[in-house]
Amino acid sequence: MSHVVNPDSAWVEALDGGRRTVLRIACRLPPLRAVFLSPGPRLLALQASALGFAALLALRAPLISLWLGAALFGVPHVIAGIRATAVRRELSTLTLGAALAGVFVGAAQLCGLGDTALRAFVALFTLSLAAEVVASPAARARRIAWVSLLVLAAWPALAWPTLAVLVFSHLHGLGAIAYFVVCARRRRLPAWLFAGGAVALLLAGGAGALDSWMASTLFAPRHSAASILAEAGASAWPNATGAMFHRALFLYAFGQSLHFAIWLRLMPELDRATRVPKPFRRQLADLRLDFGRLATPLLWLCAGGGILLLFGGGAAREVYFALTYFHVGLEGAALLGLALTQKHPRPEPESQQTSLAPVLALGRPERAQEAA
Amino acid sequence: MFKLPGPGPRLRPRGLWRVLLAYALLCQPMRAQANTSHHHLSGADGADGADTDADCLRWEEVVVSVTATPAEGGQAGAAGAAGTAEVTGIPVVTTRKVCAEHATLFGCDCALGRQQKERGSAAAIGAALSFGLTICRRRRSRQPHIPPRRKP
Repeated sequence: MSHVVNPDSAWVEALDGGRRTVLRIACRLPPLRAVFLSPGPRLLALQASALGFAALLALRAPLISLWLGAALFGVPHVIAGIRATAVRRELSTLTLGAALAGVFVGAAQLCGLGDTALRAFVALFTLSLAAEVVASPAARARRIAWVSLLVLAAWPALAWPTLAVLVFSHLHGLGAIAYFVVCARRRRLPAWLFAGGAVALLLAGGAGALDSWMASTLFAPRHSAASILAEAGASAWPNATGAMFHRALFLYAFGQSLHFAIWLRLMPELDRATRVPKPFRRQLADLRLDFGRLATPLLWLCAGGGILLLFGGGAAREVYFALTYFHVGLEGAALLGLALTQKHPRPEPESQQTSLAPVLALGRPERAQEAA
Repeated sequence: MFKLPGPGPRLRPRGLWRVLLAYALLCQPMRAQANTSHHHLSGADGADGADTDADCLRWEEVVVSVTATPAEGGQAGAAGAAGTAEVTGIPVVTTRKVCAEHATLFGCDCALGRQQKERGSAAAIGAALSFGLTICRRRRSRQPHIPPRRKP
């Protein structure tokens, strides 16, 4: 099967041919040409379109947004998140181990472990966050303060798992926004539009300024309705009033859409060393460089997972959510590690294509040597 | 002599625990519920179609009755989702959850029933496990063969 996703295969060449044609036509228009050729304007255009689409969907069709977002971008965004946080950047071994353990906890949860699984997730997330704090080059007193704070925060989360899920669900989206803004600022790329726009829309939505824009009738696909409605219901506190529920649903759906955009489009844009987007052949080669032999199975997983999530109904969604819940803690740990190294930057690796492939020996030997 | 075609020397006791783990997981009665579900608590699994409130978007608690006389150990026994405030000396308030807002569902009613849902979940977990096993097996098969140590 691997020949199908070989960078030199015919269909990748055909895709690149189509891309060349589209770009040739699009770049005849000066504004589009400027956007394509310059990283700054391109990043701003991407941020504006991400904000616009996310706000529109969250206001007018939040349930559809939750359904299609998980189906089309669910598995790819988890892989892209792992790539951005663990492969292209550095995470401690303990954090990676906690993420792996999270997959097993998710599988156990599907077997009916219930709240115990949630508490296990809270423990794993706390462990991974603490591991990043300890591994950071921050001052000792600051690290001790952070670990104490984490332990203190874990206690209510263990005691009230419902509260923990509610907080995680909103912080997950916000954390991705913060991660992108920090990374963009360090690379001296513009993120003000995204940060300002997201904060303004979140505040406006939370305060009720957008209530009149919200749809009164919410549509959901029948075959996944139970799962989608339960997800929407958990975005607000139980017994919330109608207005509060719709505001919480807007905040949740908006954050979800933005975090898909960040991991799948904006972070790769930041991490790219070249000024212009690469053709599919190069992108596929980069993916192989990052994930080695896992690249092909991961691509099939994206395709198969998308089809299952689109047509598999609630069961497929439940399985996806349980098995990928670990990435909430992984991304949180990555954000905390990034924030703590802000004033004490870690030495950057010489190449952006870093560590995991040679460490895990996932790639072919020559690729691993090249990555090292 | 008839020889079974099979994995041969690769089926070692060390790898057998993975197969057993997969069987244990698949044979276990599954509930196919991810309590976290990205992010949701998944109380409702009314995808079986029998639930009349399967399209309910928001629930509210409403007061069903207020009993003036105090009931000791008061379980008023209201059916369904009704809850009872267990008190002595003050009126007993019986509440019930009702659907306050419905979503509009579209598309086919091809939701999986409970049994199918469990099977689907088991199949998905099985697929995930076999995916992991395949990767482990491939990685192991790439490692250089080390001959077993022989007793002198």
